[in-house]
Amino acid sequence: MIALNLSEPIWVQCEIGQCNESRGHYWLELVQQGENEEEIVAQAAAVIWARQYRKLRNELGPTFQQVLQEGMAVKLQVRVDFHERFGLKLMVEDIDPGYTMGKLALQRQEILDRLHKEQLLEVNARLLLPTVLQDIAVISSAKAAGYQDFVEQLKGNAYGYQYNLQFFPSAMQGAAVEKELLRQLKQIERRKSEFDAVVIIRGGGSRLDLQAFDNYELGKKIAELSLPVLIGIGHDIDETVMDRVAHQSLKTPTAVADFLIHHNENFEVKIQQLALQIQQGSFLQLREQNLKVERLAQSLQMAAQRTVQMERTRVETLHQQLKILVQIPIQAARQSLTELRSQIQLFDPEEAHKRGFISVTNEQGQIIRSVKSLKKEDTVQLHFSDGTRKAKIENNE
Amino acid sequence: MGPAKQKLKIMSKNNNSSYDDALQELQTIVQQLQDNQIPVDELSAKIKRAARLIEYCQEKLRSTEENIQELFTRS
Repeated sequence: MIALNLSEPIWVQCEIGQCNESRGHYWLELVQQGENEEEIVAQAAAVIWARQYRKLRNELGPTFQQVLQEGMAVKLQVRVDFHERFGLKLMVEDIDPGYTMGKLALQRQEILDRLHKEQLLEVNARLLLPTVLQDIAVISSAKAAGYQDFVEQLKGNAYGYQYNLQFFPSAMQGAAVEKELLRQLKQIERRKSEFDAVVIIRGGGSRLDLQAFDNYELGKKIAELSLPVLIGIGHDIDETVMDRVAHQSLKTPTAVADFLIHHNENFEVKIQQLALQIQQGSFLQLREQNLKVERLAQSLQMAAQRTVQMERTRVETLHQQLKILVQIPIQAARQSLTELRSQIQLFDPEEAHKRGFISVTNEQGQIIRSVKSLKKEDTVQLHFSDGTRKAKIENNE
Repeated sequence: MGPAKQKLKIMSKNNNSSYDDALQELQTIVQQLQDNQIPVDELSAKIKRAARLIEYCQEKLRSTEENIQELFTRS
């Protein structure tokens, strides 16, 4: 009846409840959920025949497989088939990945709105990054190529920075992501004093692959983590919920490693700048002090020379004074001598002779002071200023 | 202060106040001359002594100046 009524393929919107592959055929359980997410209001079995599956895979590429997952909201073009024995079956002829993407985007937006309402979006971003990032908790899948890229990029840093990485394995795609990531985040939170930051990384993936990261619980947990979270989950178009709540969202694990390196490099550069400033500052101060000392030395030299000059003048003055003063006692002595001599001269008989007096001596050379000592015929010497003459006394009276 | 003692003092270059002492003595001699206190017999000796003191002071000043010059040109 239905098959007859719906001879043409129709588009249905539903959710994939289950998906099983058997010999290249894909058996789906399609469900429609009610207002309450747990409640299923409609359910139907569907199949993608192997031939159709290959055709769709060729048309849509890897997206097809990503859409074809349990829990995905899908828009399928189905042909209704009724078999007497197997009952009603929907045969999938086409699939609209755009619908799924839109649904996911909507779902993501709802989570973001809720986190925004709860003021959780910027909480982790407001955490201050430690000056140096060195002890890092890394959540990733050991299998993920991105993890190896990250480790190699860090190790190969040109500055020789050492990083202590602690690996916390977690599924990075599929249904297990929420549970495992939450568990590791909780464990890291308990050991928060050991780490500077948390890094969540994995290799590249398509938009649908990232669906697991559009998760409210994960978003809230990351937002409320007391360590800054750096995310590099390998995508380049949209941001997942996790990217929005993280401290730093980077495109790839390699970019996260570069971020860690540059962060530390900034610190080193800052230190180098400080060192340079200190060097320049001290150089300037030294030069200033040098100038001061030089000026002091100059004034000191001048003052010292002035002192010496003053002393020299003093000594010179004394010298001159001495030369003059020494004449005084000599002059004085000379003066007294002259006076003495003229006094003495007054008593000198020679002087009297010059003035016309003569003195008379007897033969013994004694001065004759009285006529009484002279007799007739005595010989005497007459002393003139220019010589002596003998004379004879002629009488007694 | 006998002349012999003072002579020794001036000769001693380690004595920091030798210049001042020499100058002091010179001034004393000048003062004595001004006051006419020096007997002529001692005059010659005094003046000889004064000449030596002057020479000493001048030498001291000259070497001091040289030292200053040298110290400042070295820095």
